[in-house]
Amino acid sequence: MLFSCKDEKMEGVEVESSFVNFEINAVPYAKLSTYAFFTGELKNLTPSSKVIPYEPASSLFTDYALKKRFIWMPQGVKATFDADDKTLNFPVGTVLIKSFYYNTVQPNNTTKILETRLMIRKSTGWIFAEYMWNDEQTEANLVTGTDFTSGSSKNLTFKKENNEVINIDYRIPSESECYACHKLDNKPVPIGVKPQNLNTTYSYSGGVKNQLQKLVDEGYLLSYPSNIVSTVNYKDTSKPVDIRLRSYLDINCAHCHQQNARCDYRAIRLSFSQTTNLTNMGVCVLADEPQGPSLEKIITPGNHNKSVMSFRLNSVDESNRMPLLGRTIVHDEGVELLKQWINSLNQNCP
Amino acid sequence: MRKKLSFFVLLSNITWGIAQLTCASAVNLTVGTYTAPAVTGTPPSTVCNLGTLGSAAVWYKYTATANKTVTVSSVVTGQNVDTRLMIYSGSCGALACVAANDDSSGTSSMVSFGAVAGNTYYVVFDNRWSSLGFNFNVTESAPVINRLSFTSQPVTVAGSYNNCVVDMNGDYLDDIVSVVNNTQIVISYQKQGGGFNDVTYTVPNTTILPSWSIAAGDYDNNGFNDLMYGSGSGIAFLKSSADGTAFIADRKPQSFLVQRTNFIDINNDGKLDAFVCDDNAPNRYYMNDGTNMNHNQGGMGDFPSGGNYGSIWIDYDNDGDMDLYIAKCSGGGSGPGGNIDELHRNNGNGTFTNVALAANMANPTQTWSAAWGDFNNDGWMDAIVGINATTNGLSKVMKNNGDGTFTDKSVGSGYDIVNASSREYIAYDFDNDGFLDVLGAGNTIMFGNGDFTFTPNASTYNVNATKRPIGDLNNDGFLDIQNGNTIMMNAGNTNKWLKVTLKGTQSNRNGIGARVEIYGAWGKQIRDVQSGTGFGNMSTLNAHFGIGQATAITKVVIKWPSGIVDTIYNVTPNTTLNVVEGSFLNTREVQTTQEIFTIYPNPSDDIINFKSKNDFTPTEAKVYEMTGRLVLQTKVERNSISIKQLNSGIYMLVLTDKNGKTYSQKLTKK
Repeated sequence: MLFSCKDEKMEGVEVESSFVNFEINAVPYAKLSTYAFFTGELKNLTPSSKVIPYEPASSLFTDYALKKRFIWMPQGVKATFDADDKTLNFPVGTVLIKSFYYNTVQPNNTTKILETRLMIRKSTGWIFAEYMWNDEQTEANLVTGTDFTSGSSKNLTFKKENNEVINIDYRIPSESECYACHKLDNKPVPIGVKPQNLNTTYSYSGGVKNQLQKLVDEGYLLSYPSNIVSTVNYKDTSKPVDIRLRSYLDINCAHCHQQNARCDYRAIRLSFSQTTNLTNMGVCVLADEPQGPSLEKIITPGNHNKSVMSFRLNSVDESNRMPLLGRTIVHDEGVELLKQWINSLNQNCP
Repeated sequence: MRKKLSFFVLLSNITWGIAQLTCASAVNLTVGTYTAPAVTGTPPSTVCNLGTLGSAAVWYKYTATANKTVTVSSVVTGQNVDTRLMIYSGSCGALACVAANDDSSGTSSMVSFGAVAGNTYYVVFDNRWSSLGFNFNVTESAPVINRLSFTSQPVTVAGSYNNCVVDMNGDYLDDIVSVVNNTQIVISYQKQGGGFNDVTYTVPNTTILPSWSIAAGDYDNNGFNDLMYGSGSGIAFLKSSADGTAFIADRKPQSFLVQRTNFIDINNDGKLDAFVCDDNAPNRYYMNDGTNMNHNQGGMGDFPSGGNYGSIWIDYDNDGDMDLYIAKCSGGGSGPGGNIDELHRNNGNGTFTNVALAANMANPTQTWSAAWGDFNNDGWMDAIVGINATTNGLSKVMKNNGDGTFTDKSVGSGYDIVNASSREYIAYDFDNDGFLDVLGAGNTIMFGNGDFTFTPNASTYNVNATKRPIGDLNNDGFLDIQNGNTIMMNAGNTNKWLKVTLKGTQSNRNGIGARVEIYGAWGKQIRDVQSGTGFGNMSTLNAHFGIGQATAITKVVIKWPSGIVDTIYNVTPNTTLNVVEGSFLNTREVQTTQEIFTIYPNPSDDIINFKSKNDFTPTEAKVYEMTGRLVLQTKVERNSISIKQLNSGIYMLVLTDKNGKTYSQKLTKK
């Protein structure tokens, strides 16, 4: 057994001993194994000491890939809280580690790790490092030079939770595509590690704990307030549909659709902290690119078929689909959530 | 009285209950109020730009007794039914979309359309949103005077990538290219006498599709155009064989988010190269070494995070080489933004310099394309920088001052009051009045008045938002718009026109990058031959001019990328002039052909005689077909030649004297 992947959470036993090998002027290393982020067989992704797993309340959809995320910081430095909806202020030397894998690769439902993406906080700012796993799953190698100037793809057949078998060209991003999403005020930034997304519990080897508290306990975070306005897991049907959708839009769309980001020239503002305002969500707002007389508003209350947002989430045409990057197939659950929310609206547009 | 009326309506319902369920049994409409029953009839076969068709419809028809504006409306006080309305012309077996509407007011629909006397129009409501019955009314008003009308004509197209109109078989008639999937394309070849011959080709796997853009050009100079697909993961070439009936795919390994693509001879070696906008990084280009298209990045728009959407190639400084304008769009933040448009001057040595700031073209406008053309016929290329979002201002009308700078003429231009946005902005003379127009935002054409003011058509057009390539699809000299499975066939007017088609010999075969000038009563008009205008479409490579009511074209000049200049005098309006590079050299510009010599008889069935003036004594004659093919070459003896061997038709005669001086004249064989 490689690892247990239920709920994309790490439930393995934390292995002590090994320490991370990190020399800030030498990274990114040519091989993922060199960092010693993981102990034992690399493909098990068993974290070394002080490599802490985390998971945002809602996850970005990337063609149904499963993900494991870890954070590591050098000794003696701490992150600080900025705002509920702003990435933590991470110290130089922080590394965010995110591996993308499938555990239903056909024909035998095998597990395959495709890539591990690092964001490393250097004194000059964040850098991106992309590692592609070999077929033997024994090592992941740094993508460099023209291979990182352009992206690439891996053809893959996997089974969805609903047992549908699909074939995709899984996208390995180029450096500039990393930046396209991880860009705010023309600087590279992490996306998921905002207090609003981490203010949820996680099942650590030592027990269940609030993720922000865990970071404090590990000495990784100075402190955090008790009244964080937080996102939820969009899959959690016990939560109100509007909060679920707003959480989904935040993690899937807001990195571009916010002020000073890639798509801030569009009217919508999809950060969780902005979507209490229905106009920011696009309700009754005329799209910049109407798709015809029947598809003019971003959201038409009560009718998802008349809503451009729904059209774009349902599209796989590269020049129509949203999100623009990181998705080649439709996210059925996301589309359904949006539909539910649109159909729950009943106001008349002026 | 009220009671009686209700009774009457009820009766009518009963009568029509069965009637309006099919096209064939469509109920006649005149001015009045009608009650449509539950929507349970047969739906139309084509949706009229409304997305997904409903599963049922009700049918009515209106036959115009005079030219009228007809308005059909379900906007009725107190009624709250979510209707959808389509108007078709044609016949039940071949419906052509005229207009459509969904939500005019609330969820009710309203359409006004220009009805032409004698024509029948089908009025169809579908049940996409509601199957409930509803009331609607029909009113008539005076006909709106449209600047230009288009007639919808159905066309068989395949697949959903319908964004390419260009000649594919070397006859200079625009064809329709439909990309179906990775291994199939359909070319609808325009037939000489009109109509199309659809041919399906199985092609080697291109891996990707032209999801963002398509461009055409003959990059191996074999007489048949090749294609370039631009996708979210790089490009692929599809190269035509020597007879144009088979294709080779060349999928390039570089994977990146492509926007506009162009064929253009970047280093002016006579072979087309490929330019590719990168959305997220510095632009890419593939240099043609005669065998391979080799990847390059850097030097032609290097903003680190890209923002490159619409690359438009024009010679803005009239120095004979093509310069690169990049329409840019990007988000904000501190520091320089990727949304600042760029203008790269071709230094003539394979390098380019961004001169946008000095030229006053470094606009922050959020734009995906710009329509370049000489809007005031002063011989310099101007630009309409078209918006895709209003965030950084509206579209800009930029006048080329002829000194390397541009002046913003937006105020009062008509564009200063347009909030609608689009990906696609292109400049053509749609009404052949001699002034360039712009097909852009708002489902209309902005008709150019020649003075940087523009007037929209009185009614909007039912045109696809993104896929709308341009060409002359019935070879009548008026430009048409392909709109998916409908051609908006230009209804034309009495204005006259000229089409100029090129065959490069030293330059690339298409003559892409050539400057075409025509002279006459209007002064001078210019076009640059471009592959890839607007954002995602490929439109005709034939240079098209309207000349209004002028009756004479005194001179046509082709300035080829090679430096060769061909000059043709006295070209007949309403014709297509085919020019082979170098066929009309060394002509003297100061004297018109007629002053030099006359030919007689013309038309002739055998001997033609020349009467020369001045010092011109022809020694050799060449006769070309209008396609540019040489059909007769002979010595001139006793100032005459025989054209007996030629088939009936119009030819171009080129005479050369012992000093190499050349004069040309059109000639008709009986």
